[in-house]
Amino acid sequence: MAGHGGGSGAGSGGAGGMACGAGPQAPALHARLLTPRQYQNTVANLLQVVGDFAKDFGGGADAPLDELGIERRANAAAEIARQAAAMPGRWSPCDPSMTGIGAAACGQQIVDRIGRRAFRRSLSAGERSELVALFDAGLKDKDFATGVEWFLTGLLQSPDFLYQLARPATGETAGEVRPLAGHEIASRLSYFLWDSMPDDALADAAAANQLADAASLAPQVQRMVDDARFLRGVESFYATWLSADFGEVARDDAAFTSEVVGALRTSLLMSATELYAAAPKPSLTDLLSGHTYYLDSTLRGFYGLSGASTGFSPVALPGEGRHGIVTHPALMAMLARPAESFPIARGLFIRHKLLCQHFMAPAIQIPALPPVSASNSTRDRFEQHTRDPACAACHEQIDPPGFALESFDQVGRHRTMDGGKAVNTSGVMMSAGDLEGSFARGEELMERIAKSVTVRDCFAQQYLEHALSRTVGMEDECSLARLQKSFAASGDLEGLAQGIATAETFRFRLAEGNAGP
Amino acid sequence: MRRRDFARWMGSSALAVPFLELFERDGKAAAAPNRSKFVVFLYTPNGVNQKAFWPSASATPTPATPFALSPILSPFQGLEDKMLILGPQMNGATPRNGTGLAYAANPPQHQAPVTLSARTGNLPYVDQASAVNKVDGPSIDQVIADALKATAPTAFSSLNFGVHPVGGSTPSDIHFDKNGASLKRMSSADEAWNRVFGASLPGGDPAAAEKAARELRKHTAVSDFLHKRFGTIRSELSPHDRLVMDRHLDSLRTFEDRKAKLLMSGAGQMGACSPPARAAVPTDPTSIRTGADTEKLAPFFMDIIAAALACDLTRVASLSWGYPGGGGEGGLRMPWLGFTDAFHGVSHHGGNATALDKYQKISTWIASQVAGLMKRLAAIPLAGGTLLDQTTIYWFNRHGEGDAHSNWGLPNLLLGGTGGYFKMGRHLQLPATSPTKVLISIANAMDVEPGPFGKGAYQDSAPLSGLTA
Repeated sequence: MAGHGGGSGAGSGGAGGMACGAGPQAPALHARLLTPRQYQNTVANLLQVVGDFAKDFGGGADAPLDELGIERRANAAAEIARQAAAMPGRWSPCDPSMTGIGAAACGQQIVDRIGRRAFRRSLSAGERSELVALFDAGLKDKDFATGVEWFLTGLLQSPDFLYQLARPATGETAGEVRPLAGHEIASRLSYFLWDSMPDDALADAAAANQLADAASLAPQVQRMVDDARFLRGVESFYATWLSADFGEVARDDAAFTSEVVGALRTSLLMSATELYAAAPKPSLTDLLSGHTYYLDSTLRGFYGLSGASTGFSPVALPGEGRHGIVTHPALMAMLARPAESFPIARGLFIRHKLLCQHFMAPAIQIPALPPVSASNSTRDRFEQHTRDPACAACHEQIDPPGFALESFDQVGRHRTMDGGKAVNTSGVMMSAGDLEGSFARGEELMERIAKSVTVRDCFAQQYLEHALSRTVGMEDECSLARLQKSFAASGDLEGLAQGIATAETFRFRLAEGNAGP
Repeated sequence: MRRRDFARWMGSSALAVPFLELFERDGKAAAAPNRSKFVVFLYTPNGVNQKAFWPSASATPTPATPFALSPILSPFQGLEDKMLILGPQMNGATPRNGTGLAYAANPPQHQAPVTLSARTGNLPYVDQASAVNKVDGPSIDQVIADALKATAPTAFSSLNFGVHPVGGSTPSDIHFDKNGASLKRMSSADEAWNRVFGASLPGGDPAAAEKAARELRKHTAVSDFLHKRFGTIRSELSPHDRLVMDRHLDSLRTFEDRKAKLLMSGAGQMGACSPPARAAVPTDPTSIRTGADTEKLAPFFMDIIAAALACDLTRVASLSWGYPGGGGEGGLRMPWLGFTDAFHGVSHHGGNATALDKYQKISTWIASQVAGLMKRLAAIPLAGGTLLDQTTIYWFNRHGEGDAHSNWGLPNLLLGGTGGYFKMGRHLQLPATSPTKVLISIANAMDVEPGPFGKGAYQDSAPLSGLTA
């Protein structure tokens, strides 16, 4: 039997067990690896060394490290350490060749400053002396630069650097809900909002116990959202949400080169970052509306548009039925196949990313599709596919939103004809919250999406999941319900970020006790 | 050799001593006679043009030519006595529906994890380049690799390569460790060569030797520091996180030991074997579109595998071509064959003769690569014969017929001398047979008893009867 359709809808609200308001709820907080982007951003902030050192790291926050993953991190650490040791002026608090301070004493200053920042908390006496010993071993082996290199090579492979960790407090009881320590909140906040390590101001606020409750946290969160570095966190979320780190995309169109693909990826993320940068109060409706996209000369050339600019500039694409980021040419091109659009992938995108609905993979044999031909539109070919009752249970929900986007071909171009006849973007949405019902043209569905509360509820959930580095569970329901209530009314994207950063589920954890010696 | 043992060495002037002696395991004979010493897993997605794949009866069968090779298998000419074909029952040239290696239940289409782990997970349909796939048990190659850690430890417990192994949205991981965590594959020529053979240092040059010695001292100091860090932190964390740290430390130790050995032996580490020449493999972002690198990358990986086996750097290796399904991208392209269609696209031939022809040509080229590995191994002398005599190769596929995504008639072959364990030079026509049995048979050939393997409908506990010599 085919997999059933429709999973958990968005916006469940309400508590799973305990009543909301009877005390903070949160699940246990487990070790999370820095993502490749976070690793690179952190190294750049810590040592002013820039490079795509982590491009092969792969995996997500929970990925267990196999030997290959370890080796890649070891190689990255060694290379970063080498580069940093060659340019200490950019990051070191001292320079023994200039200031008359001895090499060993400078090493200790480096441990104190860089060690604390890399571990994202103050060092214990034991940790400090181990780091100093590592520096001194290199110093003794050859010279100051070698001491720096050995120290940084070890530092960048430490668990305290590679993982975000929450430590059990002394004597904590398993089962109680406890607040995170100040430095743990600082780390979580900065990786969520800035996709990198805390700056000195945030670290100092943590050390001064100024992150202890929602009220005192709010001004720091406001500062971080107002900061230009927030755009880095925004880019990271949208890159994940839209699977925008697509590397290799091949279409049966020789003009669709890797330069075009690279420019499309940049353009897609700019739809988000430029909105947050320019609009006073960016809203989800803004993101899902409008027909202006950021294009450079490569993209203008590919899509046959006039005009010129250096770099990317806003270009209007009127009369094509475009509605913001969902119909961005990059997304339409990505959700396609080499020689045809792909309504199933597009429909699944809308179901999964905008409605938080999941479908199981089909377990039955998939019948062959009719071949691409000039007399058969893509819609015709797929409709034959889904007429089979065994497939229809899922596909009557998946396909219609995909067909709604049939005006955009496999390289994101607008079209009015396919298979020798006018493109048909009509359909019926089922099991779709406030998107339910029929639409005569795809644009009607896109307009509904832009204002939909069901979509806002789902977006709030997905953004929360990004901030938490995991999917939501029962313990998150109270926090999520509060966030959804506020976001449903306002659609305020920055307000949502601030709400998440101060939510209980973000600041508390379920104690599990100490593993013991 | 434990890390602390070689740290004691650092007191003396290390490099004058032939280090290799420290690490030579006593050449243990296999515990039982007629066992395979090496195993290589070669994976292809997308099924095959079935009519062009299965051999036919030979008019005059001999031990050297027990069957007549099909068009796709034509590259194996001369190697027929080292092939054991696990085919469906045939009606002339047409396979009988549902026979041969067949999954007992339909696994999700395209998803590769079932092939070597005999289990499916509810794995996510997301960008597989960044996905974290996890099932609830190991793949058979890792069962074998783990067992060998005790009886025949090598620098690498396994080496896994892939020619563009990820890029779409369907789970394409094949190898899973004992905890069900996926193991990644090396897919870049440089990374593969550097990792397996290390940055080789010229022998006898005092400056280079001094550099190696410093690298080793740095490595020891950093390892020492990291071990203290992990040792301390594991008791400061929750039970869950302690487990995370322990697994990290496990992998870290394996890497450190291997790296230390590499640094210590410096020049001339290989002794009788030598690393292959570095191939000029084009690498550029358009490679998956153009296939510019595949033609050179696949043979280069085969060179590395052959050399790694010859140097006893590992006993378990694997290579996969492309990734399942292809999502929006279609998978591998092979322009040197005269067309630019992608593998997945032509596997959905719909009966079209041109598509079928291209489908066949791609499979034939891959067959030539498999035969190429066999020829490399046959050129390496070992124990009075060749390395190929002691090797079991399993060339396997996720689907039978790509167009229909069929789950029977899987075009899987056992190849090599297999140490005399399997009776080779045959084309078997099997009724519907669980592929899990073959996985168990392969483990047995490597002198490993995996016990009941796989999960649910795919679980089995016995090898396939009738395969052994």
